[in-house]
Amino acid sequence: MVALRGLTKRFGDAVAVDAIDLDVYADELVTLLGPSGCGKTTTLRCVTGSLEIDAGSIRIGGVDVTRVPTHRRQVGLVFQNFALFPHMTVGENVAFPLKVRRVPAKEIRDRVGEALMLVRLGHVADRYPRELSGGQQQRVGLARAIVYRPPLVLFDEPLSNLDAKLRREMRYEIRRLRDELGFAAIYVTHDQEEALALSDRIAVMNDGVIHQIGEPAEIYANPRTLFVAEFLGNPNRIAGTLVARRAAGAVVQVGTTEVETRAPVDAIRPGEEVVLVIRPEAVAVARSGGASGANRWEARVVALSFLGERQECRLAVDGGFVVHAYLPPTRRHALGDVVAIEVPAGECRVFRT
Amino acid sequence: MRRMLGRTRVVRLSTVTLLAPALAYLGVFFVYPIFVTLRTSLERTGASGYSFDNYRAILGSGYYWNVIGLTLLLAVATTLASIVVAVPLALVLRTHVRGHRFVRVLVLTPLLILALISALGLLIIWANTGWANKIIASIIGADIQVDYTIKGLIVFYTWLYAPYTILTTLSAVEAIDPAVEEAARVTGATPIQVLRRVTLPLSLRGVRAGSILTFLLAFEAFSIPLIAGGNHRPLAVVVYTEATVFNNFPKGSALAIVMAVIAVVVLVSYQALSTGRQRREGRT
Amino acid sequence: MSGLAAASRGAGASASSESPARMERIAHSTRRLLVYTVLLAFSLYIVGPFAAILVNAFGQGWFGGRWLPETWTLKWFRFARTVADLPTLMTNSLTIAGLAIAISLAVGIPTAWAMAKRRVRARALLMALILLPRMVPPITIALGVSREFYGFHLVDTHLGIALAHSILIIPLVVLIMSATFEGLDDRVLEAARVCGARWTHTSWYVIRPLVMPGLLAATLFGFVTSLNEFTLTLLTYGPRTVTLTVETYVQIGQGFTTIASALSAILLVPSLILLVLIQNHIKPENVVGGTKGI
Repeated sequence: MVALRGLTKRFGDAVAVDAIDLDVYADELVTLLGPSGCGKTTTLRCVTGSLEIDAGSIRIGGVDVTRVPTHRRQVGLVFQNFALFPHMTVGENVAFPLKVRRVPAKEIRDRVGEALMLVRLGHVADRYPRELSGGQQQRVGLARAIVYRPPLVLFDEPLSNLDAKLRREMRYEIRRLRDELGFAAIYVTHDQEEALALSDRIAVMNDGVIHQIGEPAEIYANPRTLFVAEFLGNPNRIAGTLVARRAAGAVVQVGTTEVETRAPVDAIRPGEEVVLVIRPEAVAVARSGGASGANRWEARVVALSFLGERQECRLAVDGGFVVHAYLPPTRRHALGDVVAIEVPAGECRVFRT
Repeated sequence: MRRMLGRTRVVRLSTVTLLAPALAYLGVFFVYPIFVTLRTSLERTGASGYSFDNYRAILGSGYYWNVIGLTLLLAVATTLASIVVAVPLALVLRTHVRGHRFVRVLVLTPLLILALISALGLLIIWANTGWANKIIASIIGADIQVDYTIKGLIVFYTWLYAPYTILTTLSAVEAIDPAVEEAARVTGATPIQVLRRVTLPLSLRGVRAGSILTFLLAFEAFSIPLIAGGNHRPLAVVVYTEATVFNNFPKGSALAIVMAVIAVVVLVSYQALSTGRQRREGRT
Repeated sequence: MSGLAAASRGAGASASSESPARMERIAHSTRRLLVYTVLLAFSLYIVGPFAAILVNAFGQGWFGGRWLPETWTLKWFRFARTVADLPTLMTNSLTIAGLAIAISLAVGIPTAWAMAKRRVRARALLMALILLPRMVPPITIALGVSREFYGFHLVDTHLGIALAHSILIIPLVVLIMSATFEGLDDRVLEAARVCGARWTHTSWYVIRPLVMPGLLAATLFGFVTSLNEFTLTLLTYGPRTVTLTVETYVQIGQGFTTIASALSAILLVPSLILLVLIQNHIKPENVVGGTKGI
């Protein structure tokens, strides 16, 4: 459905989007995920046509739209700050795209009614945007974006202006709309939870470049760059040196401790400085004692936080490093306790510094 | 400590004391003069006692209705011309093209310059042998008589009073959220449709605010028609000539009151309409 | 999808074809040309009268359809000094302006303070009342004031004209200073009190610096308004109190547009100074509110 090839956008000397290739298929929602300034919003605005690109091409539905002005691109856009027409009622807002296409009045009424029903706002058609709550306004924005059935709908951090509970609700709304109407979507956000929950595929971006594209579970489990590994979840980041490479893994030295890891993605040679990434949920914490083995160490509890659904703790491994890990909310520990932690080699990922 | 406290006299001027000077001033130098004008307008020329004779003479005479008509015509024409200048200019200035800052300051200049001076300068430019006519002559091959004509007055008024409309329109136009216009574009509106359905309706409030100002100023204009009106004399000039040149203070006062009444009626209607509109649109 | 295909065909689908891109660029440049023409035309339109006055003031023999005068001269300014008695004019105008601003500040500042800091019942009504003088036609006020002044023997006095000017300047002062005082955070004053400062001390060291910009603005605006005032002055002046504005009018009436231009050129200076000062500090769009009270 959508094909971006070599898409490049510069602002003066700074390259905001650096030769990006991306495919979005007719039925999927692809999220551009990354921190502020990574180029995701710029990419989106290139697709809508608000920004002129410096190089590359954009194809929608097999047609090259690189030179087509915004108002003829047939895409929908849902804004972060809703961008509803303040001088029109809700009904007029949703009717606008149909009006400019000169759709006959009766058909407009029907389709607007239908769109508002879809976002469950059938009863507010005569009100003005400022009379509605944030969540309601965003749903009007959704209705306006889909009423003319564009094959591609773009989402520009649409939930950032809503509070946490509302955000969760709206995620389901968006999912439901996609199921009913079946459009392709490009979604931009910096919130990884949103991205993981909503997307068919995620493209993790930084500095104008896509680091990795894949299904949420896949990129979570197998990050291919240090940035992706660190951006998703809340992992431990430990500096060390590669000591040896094995058939199915490697060994990294951290302080006086040796850690068995999975095979690094990059071609790193022994002796090089590396970063070890370990997700806290992968650290198994048991009462101290028991046999030692690969990736099994004694550690001391140096910090403990109760977070309701779980506990977070920081554990210092003798002669090595500090990891943070999770504990069930009912497990009792005290500061200074010595525990045994174990991390499967497959959960230790190695990247070049 | 106690000694210091004892020395500090807490003098808190009451609100009434604070407001007294202004209210007194208003009373003596504004309300009283208006009252004097009112009373004078009711005097009878060459006789004692009071009556509405002057008003009857004014409202019954074709000549004075012409004068009122002329004044209103000038005011309306100026307001329309100002809108025609203001809207495109505001839209252009909004795009921050090179030189826009300079033009924004230029827009302020007529506001700060004595109308009399502007009128003089405009008279010189638009004289039959002045710069403007030289340019026009080279285009259409003939002079246009502008000075001392009605259309001349409209041009002069617009020069002086359009800036009010320009500034308020500009303010309203720049308050428009660009995302809203982008939303219009993305949903399929051509640039012209965006202008017609989104940008212009949203700037209307600014146009209205400035236009009422322009209208009232054009309606009350005095020094310009005084020196550049030629045989065309709008209300303010007629008031002046009646009172001073013809020494008919009562009639002049009556005319001045009529003029003030029209101005206040227009202003109050505008306020009423705009508060009504605000209430309807649920604005606080 | 067909609509989209048609659209991009219309815009030149293949990247290899050159002319659609060129047409786009031509349309873009014509648009720019149009924009610059509009701006240039508008600038000339505004600057025109000033240029005309300056040329007229410094030129000799400018008639008969010439673009510029025959020669340049300062003689009109000399005439202004002698025939029109420029020094007296300036003294009159400046004296009156000084008196007017003093009166207006004395009356306006307490009022502005009350509006800003005290809970006044029917505040909106009061504000409308104070701004009323600027909404009624000046000529109407002028007639009544003129009549009244004859009764009080205030005609042809500097004080009288200053009092008349103040009618128009006080609303300005109140408008500007009430906004300034509203911006004065009460908590700052409270902090000063807690630190032990007396009221006079606080006023001088705390309040004054904070309100200075507003005060300067009000003073400048008031000063320029008085210098430029014409309608009221015309009806309250006399042989001893001829101001720059009135004399300019007289010269025009007598047909001496060149001398009038010279006087106007001089009158332009304070306005232009104000203009330069404004553009450094205020967004021009916000100036309008204070002039008519709308």
